[in-house]
Amino acid sequence: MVGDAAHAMNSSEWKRSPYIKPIMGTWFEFFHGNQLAGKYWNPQLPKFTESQWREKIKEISETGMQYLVLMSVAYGGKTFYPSKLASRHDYVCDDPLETVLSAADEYGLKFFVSNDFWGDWSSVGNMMTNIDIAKLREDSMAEIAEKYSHHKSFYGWYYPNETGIWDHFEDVAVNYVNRCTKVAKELMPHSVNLIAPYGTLSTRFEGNQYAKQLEKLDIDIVAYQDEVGVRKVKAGCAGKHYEELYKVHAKVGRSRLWADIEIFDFEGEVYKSAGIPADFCRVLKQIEDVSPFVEHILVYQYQGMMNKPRTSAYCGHPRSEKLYTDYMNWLKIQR
Amino acid sequence: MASASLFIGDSVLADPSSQWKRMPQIKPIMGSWFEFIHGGSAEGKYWNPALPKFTEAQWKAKIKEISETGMQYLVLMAVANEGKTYYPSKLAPQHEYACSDPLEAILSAADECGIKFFVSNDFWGDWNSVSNMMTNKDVAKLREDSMAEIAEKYSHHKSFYGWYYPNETGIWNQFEDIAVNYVNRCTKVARELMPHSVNLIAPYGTLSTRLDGDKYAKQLEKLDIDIVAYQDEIGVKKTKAGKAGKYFEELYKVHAMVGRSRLWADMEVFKFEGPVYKSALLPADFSRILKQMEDISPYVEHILIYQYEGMMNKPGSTAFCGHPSSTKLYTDYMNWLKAQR
Repeated sequence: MVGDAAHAMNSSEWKRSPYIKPIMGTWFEFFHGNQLAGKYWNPQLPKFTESQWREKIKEISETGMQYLVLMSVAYGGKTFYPSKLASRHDYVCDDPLETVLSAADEYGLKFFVSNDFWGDWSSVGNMMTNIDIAKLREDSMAEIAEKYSHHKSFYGWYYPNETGIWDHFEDVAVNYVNRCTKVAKELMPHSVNLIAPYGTLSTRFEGNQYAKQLEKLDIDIVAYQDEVGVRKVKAGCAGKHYEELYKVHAKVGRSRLWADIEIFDFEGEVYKSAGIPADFCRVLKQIEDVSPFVEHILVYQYQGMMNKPRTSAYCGHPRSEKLYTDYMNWLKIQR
Repeated sequence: MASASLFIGDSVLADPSSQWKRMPQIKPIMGSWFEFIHGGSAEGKYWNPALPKFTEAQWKAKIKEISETGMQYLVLMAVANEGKTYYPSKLAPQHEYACSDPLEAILSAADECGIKFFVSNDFWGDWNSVSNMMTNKDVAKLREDSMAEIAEKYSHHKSFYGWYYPNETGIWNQFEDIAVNYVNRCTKVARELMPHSVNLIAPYGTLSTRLDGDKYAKQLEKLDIDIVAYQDEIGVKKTKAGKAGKYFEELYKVHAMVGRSRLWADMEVFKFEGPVYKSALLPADFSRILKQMEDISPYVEHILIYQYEGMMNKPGSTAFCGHPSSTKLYTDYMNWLKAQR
């Protein structure tokens, strides 16, 4: 059954499973930085009209998702909104950021707005420590807050430089996150702010070091990547790490614990080929595995991996309609 | 299994935890309410008498005992009752307890054990008159003066995690404005005194929530509180174990939609010796409690219970308070918990 694109799963195949959480949100991109991975959705995005961006937000809201995490506000030295700090990407839509936020206002979605990528996103260490990039990042946060924080949907900030965890959070990551939060709270005192580290499978809880570093970390939500899509672990095997994270987050009592579930697969080699939708059977196994331990499940990501059939804002692999349909069929049974 | 055998008398029993399977879908109990006295004397029959006699060492032992169960959060019910305080105060005389400052004793023990306390900001009036407690200006003045006093004296404790506003908001369809105003005023004061405090309420009326339309969401959006720990109302017999989950499921959705307060549970681990509200509280059977936990686990971030004191005691505890069967509930829970690790 799995992998047979001709086999349309329907609602009669699913039982109600209260122990499996619904997908509560997704990352959202104006462009995917790894162009090989973004092969199936990057080409459409610059051509999206204002009404297509709006349609995409509406489409996502119809799935019951409540949270969107904007990956970036800049890329390759250009912005995705009209800025005094840099020139703008040549997109059909003049102000994609304004468009998605106003659509999210209308549909009740909450956006974690990115505060980066103002440098080379793939040089994470440099992004976290370079003083010039930090200046640009913070100037842009002020600019973005001034222009867009009146939107009800501007829920908080997302710091997209992915903190890698090796045993525990390193001081360089803690300092970067805490500085971002200081600026975020100065600009928007009620902002709810999120990071999504990788290295979930490298977390080590012996001793007290993980808890001590987590205690220092000034962030509202940590949405750990499950690392199934990048093939670091198989579906159904990440949950034990989240169980330990649940305990340590409760003990520390600071950041909330969410999940960043990878609903993609690679067409070929990991990181070096196109991201394509995973089978829903695998995705369901991932969701089931982490559900008991996290408050909410976000996915990377709707765009590219899911499309409502006949959407006017299509972007992604042709199988994305199947993942959408399978998920929605399952969700229908849960309601 | 053999190495963990338990000897009782001259018989050898298998490790009692081996009767349980690992159930990762069921959340452990992450915290409990905590009292210096229980307001309803009929209900508190089995643990109220012990508390005034507790020495400082016993209060500390009780905190340590709770921390050994893996619980991380304690919610202090009251800092005053019937016009007297449970800490040395300039605002009112103090209850005559064997321990001269029970609040200091438990916070310092919690510091040591890594427990986090939601410290009560009441009962400075008659806790039975909830509406009066929420609206009376004289009570509010006393409450806020005491918050300032308590913050000054005790906020240096790492275990002073935040505040608990103990006047129980009753939900009839949705949060009423009177409750929203009371909670928001408390939070305003709490944040002025302790900007990083994490604050909690625990409303009843969970089974009366009505989530059709967006009235519930609108009121919840106005409510300035970090955590809402809804009572599951099983102990007070408003519903049966296993039947509250559907309400928590709807609350999960509306809390996610609103994106403001976190959703926890206040799960009742007691039953009544006789008529509800008019007789002593006794520990419920663990089989009932496990059903309650299983029922709501998918929807809440953490499960707190009302409450450890009275309903659970570690066998041989030097700070025993409660019904004799409380050691059985403790043992049953710990056996189950051991199988989960």
